Amino acid sequence: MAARTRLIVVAMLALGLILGLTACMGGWFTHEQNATLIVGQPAISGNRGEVLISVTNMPNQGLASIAIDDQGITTTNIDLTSVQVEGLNGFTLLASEFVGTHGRLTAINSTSGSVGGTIIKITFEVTGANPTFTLDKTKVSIGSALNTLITTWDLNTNANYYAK
Amino acid sequence: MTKKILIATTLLAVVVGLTLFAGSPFSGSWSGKIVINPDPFSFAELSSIIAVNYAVGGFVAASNSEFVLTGFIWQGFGVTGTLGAFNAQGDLLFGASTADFIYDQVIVTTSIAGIDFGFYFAQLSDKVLGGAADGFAVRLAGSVGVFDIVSIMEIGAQIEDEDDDNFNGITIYHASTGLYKHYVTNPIVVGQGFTGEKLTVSGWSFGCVEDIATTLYMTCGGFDFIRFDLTGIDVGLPWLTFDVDLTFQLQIKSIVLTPTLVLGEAACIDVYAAILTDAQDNTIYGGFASLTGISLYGLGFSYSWDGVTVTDLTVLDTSCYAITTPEYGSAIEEITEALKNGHEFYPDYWELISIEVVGDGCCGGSSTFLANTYFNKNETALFGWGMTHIEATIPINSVIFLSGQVEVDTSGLDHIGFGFEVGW
Repeated sequence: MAARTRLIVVAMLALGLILGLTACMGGWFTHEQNATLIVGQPAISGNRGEVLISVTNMPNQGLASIAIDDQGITTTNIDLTSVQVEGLNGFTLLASEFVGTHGRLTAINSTSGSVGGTIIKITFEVTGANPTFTLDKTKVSIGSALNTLITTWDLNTNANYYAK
Repeated sequence: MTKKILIATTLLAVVVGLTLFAGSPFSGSWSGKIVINPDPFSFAELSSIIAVNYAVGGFVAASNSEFVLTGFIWQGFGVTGTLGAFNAQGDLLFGASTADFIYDQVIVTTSIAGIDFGFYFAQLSDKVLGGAADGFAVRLAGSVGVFDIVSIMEIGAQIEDEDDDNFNGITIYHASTGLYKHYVTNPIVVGQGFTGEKLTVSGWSFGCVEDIATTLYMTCGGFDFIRFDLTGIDVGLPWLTFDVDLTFQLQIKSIVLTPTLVLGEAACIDVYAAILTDAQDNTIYGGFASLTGISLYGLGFSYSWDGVTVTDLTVLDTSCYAITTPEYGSAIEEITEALKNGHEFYPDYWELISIEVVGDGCCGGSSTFLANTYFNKNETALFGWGMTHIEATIPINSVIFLSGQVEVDTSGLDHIGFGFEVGW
């Protein structure tokens, strides 16, 4: 049994060494390629709905501020008079306005940045089937914990899962 | 009425049936929770977690299903066990709502002649933003004299290192609900090949330094960094020590000093205090080289007798510190640390008065009662009262527990919740 164990260990090490010596044969693409702002699909229960805004791979010690300008948010089948916005994981909502089918908001994290995770929760009442909540990237500005604008980032509205 | 009786009978049959598993290779638990917001009426949380374990031949196989109000989110499978000198662990995660494979990892460890061997393999699905990725890592650890040596060869994957913020494992989020799963093996590369080697030598101490650790990290692109961590440097003052982090990158050298206030054993009241510097994170680096003071950011008191524990926590600096939620231990924690560790906290409450009672249940198990009252820095209610959280757990027998919770704040009843847990 001991000889077999040693054999397995040696085989494992040999395999590791061989693969190690293949140095960089694999691509150098990580699963966190770009800074990304993620708008989750609306989660609906009865006539109540919820949308989470999250981030992943944010640079410069993470995202610490977000400003969505007027008409930066567009919705369908959502009663905007019922909208409630809540900052998550250290984020505080400074201001928000939802009128008609559009909205805007500003939120900050005054203590640190978020490299990855949820930052804003928006809850509402739905008025019809398949409600949508989308952002216009050209009307969104995000800032880092180092007080610099993050200029290179992606907007994703269809990912079901992300990682950090 | 008939339906209610039918449902109650079915639930009873399930619960009794599950308890009959005792003594069989099957074990596990089923826990459920429902939280209701009364105004406007809505379900804040409806969750159910079913864990089923099956033990055979030194291995335990487990199934973990997680449901919330909006659906079936996670289906996980796991296996742990021992085969001869080898310890093995496997995890498999599916996204149930989308019927997708998400992640898997295999960890095999053993110890031979004082050397610890570890093999870590993981795959991440392309259904996860930025995926797919896969890879493995080989970890060797042992001691030579007073030195502890750890070598991690990364072939497309990194292993979580609790002492190094650059190696955090992987956390996978469900974008719609924010629910997440965390694993120690982080696959980072598509395809195979050498991606990194991390060599750490620690355990060396001399004179005024408690511990010196050196970490060298090479990637397939060559030298990445070498770091020297000097811990607990004695500067001759009984109340002050420094940690030094000296890092060399290819074109950068950085040094960060972290001062630590050494307080003696508290006789009665715990004092939470920290050294301040002119840097925002209270370290010393670059042009930030001054110790500017001592911050007394919190006070704590706790006393226990006959199963009753009374605790009082006061946060004096609410801009940087907060009290964590009961789920995360109701402790004073720096906000940046709480965010980094994923701990939930109350940003607006500056004081907690807590009473916890633990007693024997009538039929096995323990009953618990917890009442936390918080005081708000922004409220003008009597004494600045902000919120009261009450929760209790009662055993029906040694394997079935019922629980309830209620939270009342200045606007009235915030939510009420019920839960159960059945073990077998």
